[in-house]
Amino acid sequence: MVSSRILLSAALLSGVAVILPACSEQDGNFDPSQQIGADPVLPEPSRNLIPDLKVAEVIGWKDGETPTVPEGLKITLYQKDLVNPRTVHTLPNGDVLVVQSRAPAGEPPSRPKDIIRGWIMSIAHGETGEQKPSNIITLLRDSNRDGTVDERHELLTKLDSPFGVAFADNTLYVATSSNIMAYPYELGQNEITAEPKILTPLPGGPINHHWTKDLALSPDGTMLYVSVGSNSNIVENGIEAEKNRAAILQVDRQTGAFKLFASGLRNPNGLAFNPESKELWAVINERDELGPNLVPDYMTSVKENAFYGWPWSYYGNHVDARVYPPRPDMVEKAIKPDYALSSHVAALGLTFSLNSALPAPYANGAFIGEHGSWNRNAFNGYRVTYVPFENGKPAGKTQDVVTGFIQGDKARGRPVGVGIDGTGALLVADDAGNAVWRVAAADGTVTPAPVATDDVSASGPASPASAPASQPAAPAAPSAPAIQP
Amino acid sequence: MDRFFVVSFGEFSMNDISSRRESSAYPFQLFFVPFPFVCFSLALCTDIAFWQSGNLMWLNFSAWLLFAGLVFGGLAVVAGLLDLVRKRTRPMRPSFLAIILFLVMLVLAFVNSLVHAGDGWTAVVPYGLLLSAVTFAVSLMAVTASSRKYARLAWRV
Repeated sequence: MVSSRILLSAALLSGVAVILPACSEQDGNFDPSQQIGADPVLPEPSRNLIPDLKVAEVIGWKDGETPTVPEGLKITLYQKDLVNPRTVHTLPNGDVLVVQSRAPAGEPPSRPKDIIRGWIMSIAHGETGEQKPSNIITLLRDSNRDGTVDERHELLTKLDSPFGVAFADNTLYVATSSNIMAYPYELGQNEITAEPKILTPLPGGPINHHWTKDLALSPDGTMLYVSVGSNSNIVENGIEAEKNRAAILQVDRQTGAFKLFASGLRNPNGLAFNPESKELWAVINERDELGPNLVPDYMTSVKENAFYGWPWSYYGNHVDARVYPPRPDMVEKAIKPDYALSSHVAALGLTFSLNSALPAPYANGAFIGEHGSWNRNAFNGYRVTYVPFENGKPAGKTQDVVTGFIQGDKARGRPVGVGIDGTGALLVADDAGNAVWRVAAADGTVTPAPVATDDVSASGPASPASAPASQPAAPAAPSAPAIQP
Repeated sequence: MDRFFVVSFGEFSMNDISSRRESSAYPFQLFFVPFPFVCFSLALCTDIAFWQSGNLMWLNFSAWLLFAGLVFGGLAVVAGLLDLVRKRTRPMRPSFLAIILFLVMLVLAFVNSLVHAGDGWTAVVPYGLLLSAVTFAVSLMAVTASSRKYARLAWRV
């Protein structure tokens, strides 16, 4: 008698306890394209017992395989045998720097979940086997501007997980996972032996959850902008760990002094100045584990002193209940970003196409490298997409430009950083595929002279907005000024 | 020291036969069964501490306590099965009800550890806390059920 009473009440109790948390269920028919553009559809948050999880095993590219591009474009392998290439950067003479890096070690696991998560992420990066040395900056030189690399030099090695680079006044700035380093460097140099200076220490380890620090030079050449991602998904390492993080810092190039330029940006990357409006833009990775269709990653112009919500809210004033204590005052301050890219695409690279040699449909807009999702049952991202711009503002839906990274349930590669090379073609760093791809106009159009990634057109005498001339490769003057028609 | 050693050695020799017989009747589950009870009751305490303070340390504590309780609970089930097939330990088995409640407690704790694997406040409040309380209640029932058999000695509860 006693035993059956105990059993009954135990069954009742556990029934209630198990059913309650598993109440919300997500519809599987949600179209991610509703979340592209200025006004994304935001469903209610869903908290599944086990987060949606689909990770593509990395199989790499076989010889001769390439990603797919639409008509009018041509894709070629620019460089292979790299180790985790993350970003590409073009110097004023047309040399391309490929930053290769691997996440810094040493984030201590706080919970059993962290150990499981680390293992899943290593599968997604294809890093389960033996590891080749990374954390290198490689210089690629296309001397005759024919779109193929003629020389390859290892400029810097054994760096501390580098990501962003910028070049100004014979100085190469490298944003590592914990510092902005300044290396004396003259264009054309094939190696750097001089000792670097630390310009500014950045929020670093040992946790350093979002460790990629991107870098951009202001158009007047005086300031550096550096992106510092949050130290957690949603402050599970405590709010103390988030000082000067989830933010873009403005750094004085002369003194190294920095100020918080914009905040509430969970994991910003792809810093770039719009060549028309001269506004700073970035792509931001939003939070995970609110369901497969929350929260859309986004691209936004970054306004000075603006607050974009993380961690307390997303897309303006949509409160995230996971953060305690709640801060209604901060939620009220949060502004809405400009352009949603849909959920979990993991946008990591951004570059503007104005002044490139790409054909008319891509003449004025932004290319975005989407590393690809893990927190969804269906893949999203794993592509380079294009957003057309007009007068420095997004105008229209995205068009996928480089696809084919996913084959079945496996990943041949994963795009990260994007940039325009010295001939005006698009470069895509593929960290899982260990390659850099070059997407050029199918008719072979190139720019008359190299255009540097660092757009310093506002520093000197005003130069007219340059339109690329469409003519085949002309021999380049290696020291040609940055922007000349 | 020497003398003590000799004495204890002497005693051991005297009881040699009986102690060997006793050790062959030692239930393996005895090593493992107490852990889930301790871990899951402490997890309820750390959940309450998190609910009251918002200090994330307590959430991490709860997650590890649930994890440890589950690992040792799993070992307890394996050890219990071994004890069941051993002739000398079989008579000391817990009641069927106690076994069922012990398993229910483990299932609840597993679900609870999934809830606790979420990030931030909602990993505990309200469902994690609720599950911890229910797990604790079921563990008390398991103890009650076991007390009606000899196994209460084996379970040390």
